[in-house]
Amino acid sequence: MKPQEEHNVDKIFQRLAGYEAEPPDGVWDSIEEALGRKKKSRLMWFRLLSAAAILAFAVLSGYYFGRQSRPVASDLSQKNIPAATEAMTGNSHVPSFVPASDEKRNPAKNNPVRQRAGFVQMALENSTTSNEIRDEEENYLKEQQVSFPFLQLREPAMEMSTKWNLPGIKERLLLASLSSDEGIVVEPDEHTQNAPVRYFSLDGQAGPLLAFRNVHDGNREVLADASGISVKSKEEPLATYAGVLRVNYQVTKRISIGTGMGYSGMGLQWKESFSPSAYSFNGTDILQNKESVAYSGSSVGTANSLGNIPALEGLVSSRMASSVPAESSFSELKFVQQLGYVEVPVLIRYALTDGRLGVSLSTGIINHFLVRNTVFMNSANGKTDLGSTEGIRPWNYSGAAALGFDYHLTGNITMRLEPAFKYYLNPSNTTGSFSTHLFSFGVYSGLSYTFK
Amino acid sequence: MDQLEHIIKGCRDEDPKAQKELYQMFAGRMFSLCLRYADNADEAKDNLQEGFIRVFRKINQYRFEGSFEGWIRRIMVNVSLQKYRDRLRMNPVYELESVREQVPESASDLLTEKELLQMISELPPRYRLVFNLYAIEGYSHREISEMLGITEGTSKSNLSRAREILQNKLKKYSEIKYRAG
Repeated sequence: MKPQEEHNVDKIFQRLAGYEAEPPDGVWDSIEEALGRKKKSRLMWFRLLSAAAILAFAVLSGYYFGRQSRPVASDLSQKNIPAATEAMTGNSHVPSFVPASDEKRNPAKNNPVRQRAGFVQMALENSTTSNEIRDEEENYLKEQQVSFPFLQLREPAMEMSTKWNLPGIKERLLLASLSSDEGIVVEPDEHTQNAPVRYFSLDGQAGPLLAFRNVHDGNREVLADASGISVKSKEEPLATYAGVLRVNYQVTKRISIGTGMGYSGMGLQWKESFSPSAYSFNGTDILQNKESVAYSGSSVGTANSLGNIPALEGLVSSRMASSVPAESSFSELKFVQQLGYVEVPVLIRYALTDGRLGVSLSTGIINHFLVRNTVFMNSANGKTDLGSTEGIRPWNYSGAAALGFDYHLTGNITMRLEPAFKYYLNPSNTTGSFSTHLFSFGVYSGLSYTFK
Repeated sequence: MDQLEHIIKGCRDEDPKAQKELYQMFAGRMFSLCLRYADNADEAKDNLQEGFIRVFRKINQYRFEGSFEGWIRRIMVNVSLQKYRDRLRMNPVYELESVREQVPESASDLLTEKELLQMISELPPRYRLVFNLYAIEGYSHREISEMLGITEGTSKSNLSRAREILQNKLKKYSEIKYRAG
């Protein structure tokens, strides 16, 4: 306890230690809102509409840029018409890959700094209590009302006996008698709710991803295979995975920006049914069925909505060389086209709520760099590498939107579950008369560590 | 379990009802404290709000050892001092601003707490803080020097000057009251 210097002025003003002033209206409402509990329907509507607008913008931007950057048809389209297909079907006017004319396109569619902790903490352990006890003046609280412009005071509501225990001096004396770890925990300084809160955080997230593609074309025959079946109807979404490590900078209490690096798989898959036969690929029997079979009536084109797969041409050609006895059963070949992108996102996150359970909305742009391009075929004989897909754009970027659900495990560690949507704004294909845009839905989960 | 302990435990569970009860129990005294440190009522209101938000977010750190009101008061003082430091960072001459001498227009009533608050609020910022911390909160000059980043000598000097100003104000009040009286 400090050796208190008694002074008349001090004693007069010590009356204020236990005084109560009427808190202004609205403070409790503001506190509730800051605690993330106050439901302000208008604000919520505004936020939801904002989220919808951002999502719509991302999708429409992708569509617009996609139409703007539609790739021109290349000679690949002619290479990709397997001569064998025409020979088999006798239907030379239904190629597996036909450039669409420009006329068929729709022209309208072209287009709290956290301060150092404990700054103002009492050095309780350095305090002594022996000579600091002052006389309490129990008549501090007499009722006097004077109208000052900015103050609305009220008489203390509590009984005198209770009041006696409450003034700051009394509390100070009680506190000073405690050791530093007795009940009083160091109170770190924080910035105000409204002031900028600047710190970094590190996110690590990963999760499953379902990859889709969207083909812009005005001609359903463009992607028809040799039998006239649109490839679009065969191609299926591919289940893959993604992960990202991201550094975020908290600009204000609710807004942060972040960037980092990650990996995301994309691609597609489709199935083809063939009669078991002496199908061979580059001289290797695929199905290991020595019986020759009749032609099943379907074949594999070498191109699909992502690009051209030269290896498939070999598959078809080999098959055509085989003899064709009858066969009743069919085997299924599953083709998987896998693309892998290193991602560099630039995202902005807005915290809709900031309680222990937080909800946030993220949006931004992600740069994608192609690092993996493989095609393989699953058959009864196992997995057969079919090389890669030609004509994949090596660089791409996407618009992204995500809804994050946070749970604060500790002061620094947050667990996050984040469904996310990405739409690639460039066509993924550089050849062909159509444009294919990849998009994905993923559910990321991971941890975030806050450096503060 | 007494009522306050019950309320505190409710606040730990983030029970809105308990939080509101806690607020209603302490808001008056804490607002009075904030008024003593703030430049104006708006700042005091902001500090009160921020202080309670901090209380609710850190209430798990209170271990039922020692006075709970003392714990809250320290948080409110911390918030108020933080505001002072923020302002000082933006405007280094803030603490040197001259005394806003202001003689009340009417002294027909006895000196009230409201008038006392008014007198304190008219002190230059640092004098106000030092006086509050020393004379009302009971901190030592050494503690104050650590809190405000000043020397003990400066703390003593500021206290002395604050008392001098307040004494003059009290004297003026008395004179006016005597004349009116």
